[in-house]
Amino acid sequence: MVAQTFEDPTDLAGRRAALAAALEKVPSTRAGGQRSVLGAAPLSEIVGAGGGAEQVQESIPVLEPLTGLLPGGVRRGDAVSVQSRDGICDYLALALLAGALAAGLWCAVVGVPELGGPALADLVAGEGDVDRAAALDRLVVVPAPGEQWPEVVAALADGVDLVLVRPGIEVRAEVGRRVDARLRQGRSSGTRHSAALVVLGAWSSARLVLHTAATTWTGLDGVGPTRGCGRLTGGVSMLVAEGRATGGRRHSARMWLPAADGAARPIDDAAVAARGTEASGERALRVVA
Amino acid sequence: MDARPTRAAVAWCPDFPVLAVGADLDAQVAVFSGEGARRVVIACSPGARAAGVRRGQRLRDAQRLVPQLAAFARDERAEARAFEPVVAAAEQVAAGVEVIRPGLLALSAHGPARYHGGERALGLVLRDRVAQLETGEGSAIIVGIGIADGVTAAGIAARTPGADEAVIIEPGGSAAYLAPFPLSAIGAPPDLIAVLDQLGVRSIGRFAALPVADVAGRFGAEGVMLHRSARGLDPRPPASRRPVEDLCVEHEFDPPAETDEPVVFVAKMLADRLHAGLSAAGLACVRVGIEAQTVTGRVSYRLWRHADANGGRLSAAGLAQRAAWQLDGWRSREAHPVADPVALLRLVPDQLVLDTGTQQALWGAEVIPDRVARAAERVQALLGHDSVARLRLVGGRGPAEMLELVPWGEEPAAEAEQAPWPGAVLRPAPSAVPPEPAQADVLDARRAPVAVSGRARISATPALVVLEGREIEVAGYAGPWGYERSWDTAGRRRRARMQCLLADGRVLLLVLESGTWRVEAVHQ
Repeated sequence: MVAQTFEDPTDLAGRRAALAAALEKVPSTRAGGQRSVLGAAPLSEIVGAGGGAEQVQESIPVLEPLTGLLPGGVRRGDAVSVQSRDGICDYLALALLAGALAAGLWCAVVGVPELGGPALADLVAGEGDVDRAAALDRLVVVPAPGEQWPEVVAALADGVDLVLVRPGIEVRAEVGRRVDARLRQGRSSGTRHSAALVVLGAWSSARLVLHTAATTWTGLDGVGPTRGCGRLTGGVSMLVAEGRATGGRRHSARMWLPAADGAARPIDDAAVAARGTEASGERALRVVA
Repeated sequence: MDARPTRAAVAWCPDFPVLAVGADLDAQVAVFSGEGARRVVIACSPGARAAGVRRGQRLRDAQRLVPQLAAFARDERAEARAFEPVVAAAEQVAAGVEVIRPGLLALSAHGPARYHGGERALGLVLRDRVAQLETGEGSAIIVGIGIADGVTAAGIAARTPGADEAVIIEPGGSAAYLAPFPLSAIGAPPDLIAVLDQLGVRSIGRFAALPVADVAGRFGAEGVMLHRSARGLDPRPPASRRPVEDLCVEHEFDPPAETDEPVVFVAKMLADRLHAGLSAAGLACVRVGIEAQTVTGRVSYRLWRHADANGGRLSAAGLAQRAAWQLDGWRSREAHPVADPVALLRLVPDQLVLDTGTQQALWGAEVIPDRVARAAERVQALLGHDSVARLRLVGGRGPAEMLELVPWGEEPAAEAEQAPWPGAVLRPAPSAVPPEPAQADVLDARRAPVAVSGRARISATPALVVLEGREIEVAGYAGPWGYERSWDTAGRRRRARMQCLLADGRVLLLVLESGTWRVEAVHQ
């Protein structure tokens, strides 16, 4: 138990400082025995959790194979930049959506009309006991927000848990700051709902920058008489995470993304090797982007 | 012993959707709903019917029967508007008119029949009033009238072909009258009809002869409702309570609403409150009255059946839609469309029954949380109704055909087809499917364009793909696979698909059509 008396209860900054100091004294373990990093997490998050407000999951879970790369999932209130080729929707962006959808959360997609819906459904269905037809039930799409995308993102961030957006044009710094402020507002007010933002393309304040460094596709590499006889059977992707959230270090992970059934699967090198020596001439072909 | 239901009169305007779209009933006309290959005929003119066009038929089947068939998309708003004069005419004959849907209305026959001097006289008065009317296009409105015990039997009697005056089924005679009709006449769902058909029960009479306990045991509450219909009883138990004042919901507009949009918006909100109030009381209502009052004190009151096409409860959006129809019709009926803003909107539940529970699983069991609905509606207010959608997987061969966008708040048109699609693009599905496929050049090693023969043979091994002026080497490919879009009315065109692995690490799904390659989808 930690106590603190206030001399001037209207002095907001003073109360915050006192509360932070008081919390430092609280044993730094939270539910589940996990060590929490009090210094790093915004104060209000901890206050919100203690205040008995409607408790939402702290971070947004990711698909099982991605947990190695993003151990804590995606934090609410954060912006994540996914740098895909030409800003076109890739499996990595779909995987982030799929992680939230599979966990029963709501997602929104703004300004990405080419979103591969069937691929997303396969990723969600691959994660667990989810019916493919029901996988997309919690997805709200706004294919053409035009110039009003910041307002659309702000409105949706009040309702859903994860928003994927492609601004389409270069984002002016002040617009970016406005969207960031809106996201953080949700987080810091504690009682308010808070969403995470995934941007297809660059985002100056992104705490986490993700990209697919290379994908090794299987099935399309027949040679000689088997040329052209195969079909795409999957790809092994090398994903890279950088940014402030990783402490400036470069983390990477390899996985089947997509696997033959469209799901994300942890890599099994033995299986890949076996595939490569199949008599059909299917040979894993490595292509570096 | 079940009490005999009250005498009901039903007026039915045949082919009303055809009239409402402004088509000539003498021509061969069909009205359809749905989109693309799933367009289904929902109404047709007598001429088209004579040629074999039927309700529920696929539009392309109907067009095969009648090549010169004029097809119109259904316009429910126009239907409601065109029906408004008919309702007004019926209201002059009797109070308490219930609109079952545009083209079909019911009223209690007991009092009005006494007033007009018998049911026959009531039927004549009703018919004459409607016969004086015309649609906006000047065609006469034909009406059939049936009077019987309960709305079900009266509704079927009203459809008697060639009847010049009201078809009256004597009190107590409804069950015997209904007996020879097929089960579809009382609105039995297709799956129930199929099961009963296997059991040899094909007419309403045979179904009515089944013991009610067995029907309840085998078919549940829905079966019992139908059984009551089949026995000439009102399908629902008589209202156990009169509408209680505190279940009404209303909203006063301050300032008064000069346009319809805020009224419709409030109607949606009120509908939510009405549903919440009813479910808290464990009740459901058969009908909902929508009452709008203007600043000058004029009132529009209309009863709407509180069920959608599938028999489920009307959603808030559905009720708001009815309110929009009602206001639309009301305004168009006014001789002097003066500015008379709406000051009050009230929803009154009518004919309350105990809520026995209905299935609410059109979207699986997914319940939309309030905060998500609010956010989506805010974006709709910002960008328009169609701008926010949900994705639904539907059957299809190409990656672009596998998805359907359903505007937020609307129900999908039809059940998803889970049938296998031979020739469909296999998994893994592409990560991006551009709405407008970009053109690409596929070249062989000597920089000659790669072509595909009619037998899906490739002319040369692709070596280069040129995309927006950028040349990218081809590192592997699969295909091509030929396919045809035979349902495409623009003509049978042969196409071919090919998966192409590019040296920059992408896999493209390329489609060749009329000599041009396009990027249909991307794996990246």
